Amino acid sequence: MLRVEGLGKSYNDFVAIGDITAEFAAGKFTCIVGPSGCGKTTLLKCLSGLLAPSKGRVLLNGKPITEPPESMALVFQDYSRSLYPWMTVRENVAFPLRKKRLAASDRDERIEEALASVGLADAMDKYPWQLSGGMQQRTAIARAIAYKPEILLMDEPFASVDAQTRSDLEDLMLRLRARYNMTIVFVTHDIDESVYLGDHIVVLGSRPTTVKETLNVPLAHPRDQITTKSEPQFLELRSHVYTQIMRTNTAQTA
Amino acid sequence: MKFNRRQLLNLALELAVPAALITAYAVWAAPRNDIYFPPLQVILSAFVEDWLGAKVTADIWPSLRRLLLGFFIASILAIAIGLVLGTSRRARIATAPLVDFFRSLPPPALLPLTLLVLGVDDTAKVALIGLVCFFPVLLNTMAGVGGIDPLLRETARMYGIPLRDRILHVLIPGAMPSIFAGLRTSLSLAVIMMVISEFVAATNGVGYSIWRARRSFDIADMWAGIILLGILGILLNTILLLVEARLLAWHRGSRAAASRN
Repeated sequence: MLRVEGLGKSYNDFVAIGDITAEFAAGKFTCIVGPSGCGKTTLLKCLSGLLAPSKGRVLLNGKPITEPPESMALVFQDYSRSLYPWMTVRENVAFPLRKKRLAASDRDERIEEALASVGLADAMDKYPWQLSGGMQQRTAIARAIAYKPEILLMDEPFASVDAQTRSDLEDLMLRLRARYNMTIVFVTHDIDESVYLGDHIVVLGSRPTTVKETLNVPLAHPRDQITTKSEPQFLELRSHVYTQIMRTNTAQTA
Repeated sequence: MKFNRRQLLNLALELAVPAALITAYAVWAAPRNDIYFPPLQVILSAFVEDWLGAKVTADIWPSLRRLLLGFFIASILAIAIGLVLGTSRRARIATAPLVDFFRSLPPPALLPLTLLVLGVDDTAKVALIGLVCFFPVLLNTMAGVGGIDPLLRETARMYGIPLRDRILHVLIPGAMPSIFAGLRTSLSLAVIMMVISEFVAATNGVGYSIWRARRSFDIADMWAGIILLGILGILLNTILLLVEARLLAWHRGSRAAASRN
């Protein structure tokens, strides 16, 4: 289980995160949603061990995280900059597996399965820059899945793709979630996305950031872009989160 | 290979200008009988006689050997040290004065010293050629490592990529476009340094041949040597460009893709 306790992060005088305490239940899909500029990416970098918090701590199964743990993978927002342009899609997915010293057949199977599950079986020998943005992000997701992490962190992964690709990728995440038993922490500024994807939602306020509310999403699985998004419960949750976030924004401007 | 019309036109243009210049020289020099500017066919026959015979092994090969040894040894060292300095801020700060001093020093200034210390044999020449090649590659490797997208390095850190793989598969390929810019500079400097060192102290080599031809007032031979140097320079550079085109195909592709978006 992943937990943050009294986490704060400041850069000199700039307080990015005030005080965050939250828990990310094992095997659950937790969305972190908040107004833009509220330090969501900073929080995720602290969770991943890439960034050391200024105060508080991040605990994985009770042990504090200081370096990126073996059991974690991270999908960045900027897919075009997180894939290695000198490696093919297959090589990109294979790269983190090198240190695992898997048998060649086992490794190839993992790579092929991961690429097939994101619908990229035919693009394995292409270079990332030969692919569309959505396909590049699928490659990054396949790389994370082939790694078989216990915890998958995602930093606004669909923020820079078009709307159609975005809903495709959202559905892909739901399928992957059902298929692999991972803890997923998904940062987004899109309220609909957080309600549609999450089992839990952590709503953040604006800077200095604190947790405004933690919600459960009781929507049934499997979810569907059209029917789920028109359920009264979905609409209710959506406007609830919306109000929470708008309130922080008005409080900030007032 | 298939050429389209524009490529053919470009190729024709590329060949036409030197051809025109050579013709102009031939027309200009033929009637003058100037000792310093001999007629074209005299230079050409000197070239054929000198450089397409025994001198290939007697002079061209020793020159090339010095040049390539200096270039390769220096490049490998410079890339290795550049990777360390490019990654470690502390190492960079510690070596900055040293690097700045040596790169500002014109390498020919070290010629007398290396001749004294290392003698007149090939070691001194290889060392000097290596010295000129070292700094462009070093500085470009450092810049290349520094210019690798931080997100690519964070990705490597996130997945716990071991140091060896990080160096071989992240740092070196990431810095490669910049390293090649350094290699191109170095290669042309290497040719310069080879010639200078052979002017001063050598018993064979292309530079030595030019110098000897000058001393014996064999002007056509001197011209032939100069032409050979030009051709060697073009050949070496072409080979380097071909290697680069092969190794950095991804770089051209990704840049082209980036400019389309």
